[in-house]
Amino acid sequence: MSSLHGFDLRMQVNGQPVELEVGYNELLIDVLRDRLGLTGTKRSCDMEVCGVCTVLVDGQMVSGCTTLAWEARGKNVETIEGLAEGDKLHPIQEAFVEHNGFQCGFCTPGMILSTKALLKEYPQPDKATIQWYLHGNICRCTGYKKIIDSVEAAAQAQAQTAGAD
Amino acid sequence: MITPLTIVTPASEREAFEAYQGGAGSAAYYAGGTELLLLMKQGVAQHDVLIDLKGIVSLSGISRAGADRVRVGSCVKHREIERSPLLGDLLPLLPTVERHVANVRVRNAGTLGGNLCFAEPHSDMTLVTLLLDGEIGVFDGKATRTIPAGEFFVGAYETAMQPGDLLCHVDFPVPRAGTVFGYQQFRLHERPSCVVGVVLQPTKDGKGCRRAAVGEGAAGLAPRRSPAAEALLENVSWEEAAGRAAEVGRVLAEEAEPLEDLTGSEEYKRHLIDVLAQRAISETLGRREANNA
Repeated sequence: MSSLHGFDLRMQVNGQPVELEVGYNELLIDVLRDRLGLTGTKRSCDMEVCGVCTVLVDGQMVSGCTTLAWEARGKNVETIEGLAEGDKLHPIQEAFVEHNGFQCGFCTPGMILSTKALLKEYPQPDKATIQWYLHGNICRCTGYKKIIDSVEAAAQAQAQTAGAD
Repeated sequence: MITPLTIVTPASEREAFEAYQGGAGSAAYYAGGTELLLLMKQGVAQHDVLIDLKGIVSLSGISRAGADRVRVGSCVKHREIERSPLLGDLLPLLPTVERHVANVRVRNAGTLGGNLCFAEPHSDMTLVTLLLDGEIGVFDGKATRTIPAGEFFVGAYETAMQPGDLLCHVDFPVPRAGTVFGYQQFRLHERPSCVVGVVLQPTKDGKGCRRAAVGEGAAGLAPRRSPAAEALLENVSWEEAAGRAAEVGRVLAEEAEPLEDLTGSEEYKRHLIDVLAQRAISETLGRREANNA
């Protein structure tokens, strides 16, 4: 029910319809983490720079920390929890595991969702494109090389799957 | 934390204006939120009403406006500019610079109009709008008036708009075919600490430069063009223009009013502006040669 300070938010989260009463002032990250228990989305810089709060809204990556939940109405929100199918990891997740694309893992949900957006837009990215697209996702552990290796491997895996269809 | 508020969704510029007037001083226009929400989260800005402009059709879209203008709606997102074939064709400086504004997430949400209204000193789009002689259409409740970019950016976070004014669109004159540009940034982190841009329009015979736009941004309170630096590059052959790069750098650096901050002293930023200006001219002329090759 809509009120002065809140509204009925209807959206899809990881393919599931969700409906809840939300304040106009509530941020998407808080609704995902605190209301829906999806704590894979992290908060760090809280100013759209570091990328750990990356979620996809209708396939477009945004900073959950600085996006009002209002913006998700009628949309499909994807978080890291939505990628694996049961115990079967998503191919991008597989690639990050295979190529050690993380150490502490804090930036990883954002890295993986950004990679998903990247590969949708640029299915065969060269290294410069990967660096350019992911420059807004900061990692303090890896030095990035293994992340880029992982993204390249994920792109290859995606191309092979597409070729097999 | 953002304090409780209400969001309204006007369908027209007039409805938006009226919502602003009805907000008793505590309403704000809201589009991408990439700047506004940061302030609200920190408690620097507090608003009881956000007027969501994204449903107003007239504020969207990139299209030709007459024979010699391109109109970009104020709610057009950075990424739409970055990927616009029309702009890539007619005003390539815009998409080229947009590729490096903030990051993909911010560009997916933030809008051109919001960026210009906010007038953050490190904004790239303020300098680019200035260099391209953008004409900013502002609705004041009665009519839409045009503010030239040269009069729009007054200072840090300060524009020529009055409270309640609604930025509707920016019209960019299409420069003559063969116009080339250079854009050089120095940045230690996401927002640049010094930027220099150059746009050179050719003479009719293509043998030299007829008109120049040269400006710097991010180092001071607002982007600035330098008529003195521009005069050095106008009505000269391309060879002469190349030979004047050092002088342009010197003039631009002298005229600038850089502020000392964590990214460098005033002296250091003047040096950066000098170097970036020379590189921007070299980039511009290199682009001309590549086009002609």
